[in-house]
Amino acid sequence: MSSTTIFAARKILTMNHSRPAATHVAVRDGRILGVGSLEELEGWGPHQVDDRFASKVLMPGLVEGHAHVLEGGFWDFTYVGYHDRRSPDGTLQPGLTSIDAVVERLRAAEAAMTDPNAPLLAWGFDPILFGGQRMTCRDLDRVSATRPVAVLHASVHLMNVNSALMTRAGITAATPVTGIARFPDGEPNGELQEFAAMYLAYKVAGGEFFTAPGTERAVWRFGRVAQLAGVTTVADLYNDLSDEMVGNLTAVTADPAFPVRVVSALNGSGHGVDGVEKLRRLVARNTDKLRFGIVKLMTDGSIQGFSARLKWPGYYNGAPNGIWNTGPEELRSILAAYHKAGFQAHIHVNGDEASEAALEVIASVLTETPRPDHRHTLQHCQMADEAQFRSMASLGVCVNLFANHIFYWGDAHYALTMGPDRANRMDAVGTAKRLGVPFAVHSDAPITPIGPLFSAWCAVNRRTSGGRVLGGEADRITVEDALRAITLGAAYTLRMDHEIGSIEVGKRADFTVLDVDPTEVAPEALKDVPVWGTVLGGTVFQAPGGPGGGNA
Amino acid sequence: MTIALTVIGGFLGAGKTTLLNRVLQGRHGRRVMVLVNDFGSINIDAELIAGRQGRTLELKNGCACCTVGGDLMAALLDLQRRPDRPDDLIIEASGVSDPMRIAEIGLADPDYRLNAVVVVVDAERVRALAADRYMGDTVLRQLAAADLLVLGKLDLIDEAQGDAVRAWLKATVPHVRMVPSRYGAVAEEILFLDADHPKTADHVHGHAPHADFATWSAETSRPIDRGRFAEAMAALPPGVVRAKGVLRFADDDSTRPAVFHMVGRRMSIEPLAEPADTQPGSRLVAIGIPGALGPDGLWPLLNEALR
Repeated sequence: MSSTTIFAARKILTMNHSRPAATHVAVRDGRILGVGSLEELEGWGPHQVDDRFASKVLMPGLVEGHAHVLEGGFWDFTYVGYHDRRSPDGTLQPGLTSIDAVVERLRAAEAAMTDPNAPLLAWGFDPILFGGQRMTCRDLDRVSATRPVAVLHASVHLMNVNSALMTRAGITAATPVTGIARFPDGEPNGELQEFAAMYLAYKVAGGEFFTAPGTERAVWRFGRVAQLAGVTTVADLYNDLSDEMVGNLTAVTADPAFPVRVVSALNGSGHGVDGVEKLRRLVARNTDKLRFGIVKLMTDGSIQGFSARLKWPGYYNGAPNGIWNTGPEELRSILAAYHKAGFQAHIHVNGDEASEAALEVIASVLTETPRPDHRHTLQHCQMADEAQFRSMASLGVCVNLFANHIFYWGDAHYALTMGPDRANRMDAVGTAKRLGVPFAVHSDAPITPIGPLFSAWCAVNRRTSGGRVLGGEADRITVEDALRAITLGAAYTLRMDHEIGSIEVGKRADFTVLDVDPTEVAPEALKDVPVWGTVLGGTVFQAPGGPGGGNA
Repeated sequence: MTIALTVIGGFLGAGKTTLLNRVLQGRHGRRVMVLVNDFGSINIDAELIAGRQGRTLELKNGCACCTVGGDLMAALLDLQRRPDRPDDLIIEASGVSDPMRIAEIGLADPDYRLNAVVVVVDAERVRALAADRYMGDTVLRQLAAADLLVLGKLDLIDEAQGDAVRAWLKATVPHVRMVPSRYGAVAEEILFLDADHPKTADHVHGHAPHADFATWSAETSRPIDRGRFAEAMAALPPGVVRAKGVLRFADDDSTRPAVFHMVGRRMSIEPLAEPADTQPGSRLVAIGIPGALGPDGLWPLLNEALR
């Protein structure tokens, strides 16, 4: 006979309308047996009461609907971001708010290296936050005059390198490619962007940026970083899913100590229609903790990289329109293949021209092959206007909005990329809620840190890192709605809302354990609600380095 | 030995893979690596396949074809780790990318020499695509990046429409050279033209004769003036789509001659690596549309370039 554990908590936020709050939840075989008072649950027979959460608040395990296992790979390298970030072991990596501080951390990392030829690789740098001051090779030459140093930007579309790396890569004033930034005298200053310039650097130092995410260690770290943020299900939303990667994901997620469920989406733009068969085979390997069945499709680039596709009037600073990675015509042929095979598509769209094209493509595919409850989801969808949201509602399309962008790049969007009008309405959570479009909010880690409570805070407060509030009351959502977006909302977009996302009978016993009630703190403090840990399928995982300390 | 890099761009369905299929299966003796977006339309005769390893299809003729799986950067870095280096690398740019962005690798990486950016154009659709609200700017960027345009799907339109497309392309990208894709049969000539053994178009692999494709050659034992030669080549009429030469310049005291390539409008001159050229003098060959050069062919141009 299976044992029954009844967890007692100060409060349980269930996301179940018929029983929004409770004090006890009974768990058997990793699933929720009942929710209510102790008295109501005792009827299930013999049980043990676990009251370690008696002073804590439980909510449904948080669901990060859009991240990448790349986050786990990047922790092989030195973090030099502007904002604080928790590493997989739970230690806080303080944000670096000056270029000198970046250099200092790199020097420390360099001093700890033993192989004099190995490149020093770092990630997470974002020059946009240094008020126009750019990092150059002169800064990085202070780290090492001999060892190649490469610092990947948060956007992953640019990098800074030192002179030693440029020498090895053969990058000089005469190198005839675009994307090599220069000092006034014409000499390259070490900031690289665009395909060829990045390639030259990757070729001599930086290949590890591509191999690190494919390892078992990366999957472990990805899971740990997610768990620290209170996540119990995380979507890895663009994976080549090579045999080796699938093997690693299968092995790691099968380990009882691995603390999250992973949903890994096949990179459909890379596989084309050939991927349909592959996805069929992968679905047969699904487990409780590893899910396949989603295809991720690309369209445009990123707004802050000026590669997103914008409708008229285009970029606020006059930059030319961005690029397609997959154009509408090809998107249609690929989407149609997966749609007809019964799979769900998550489509990357940043600019409003991309979201418009994607909606037209979805409408066309649905007209040809109607399919109830397809839940195709627009990802990021940062610039969609109200008409596009009306279209999503009528087409049954879900949206996962990149709310973290409001904080991290909102000021840049206001001043440079979109201008005030469109920046004010960006990542339109309020519109999605008002028009009944099923929605979630996400981090796109490693682009921004995984943290559903932070994403929820962004959706509620719409505050930029510079302190500006984007949009008005109608653009915001309530704390309750935001908490729903990071649980049941995200679960719905992953077609898992029957299994996870709320605390109700029959669902998996996945909880996030908080030290305070997020519905009782000031909305401005939502991001600061401490995560004690999680429960996954009834197993308790205390967050290392979190409040209360200890190791899981 | 540098690897000759050719980037094949062009909109989805324009006919890029027709060109690639032919190059992959050709008996040109070159070891060609082709990076494609997917194997979908690559159609290799089963008898020619030597084996398949992961993403790579190895052919018995020494060529190989590899899918990039949506990440060209990773594929290029993988390529570098392979023990065997190809003579030629041909990258099929995705239908929506700017091929020049990829081709820049051939300008900056000493392991490569940029042979050409070849853009395949769907003659039936190109003008409509250039006006498309989503794709217009992308198509124009691709055309602007081209050293050589290959016009496909001409059989789907009549002669007048074909002339109109050509006129539109000339007005849109004035300096580009173009060739109809029915010369797909001579794709290998365009890419690998052999200065020592230029085939006449009629001999290309025993396919039906391409009487409408011309080959010219000229040679001299006198040293060549570098500046005048460059001027003469730049003045070649647009119907000349490919030239290659082994040249001895007056200002070059090296015992090794230089090798000259022209694909479309792109030209390069670099020292001949190996095998060492033992023939004295300079030789120049070119292919193109018949009548593009006068009855004396390349001779007047080469004479102008003499010191």
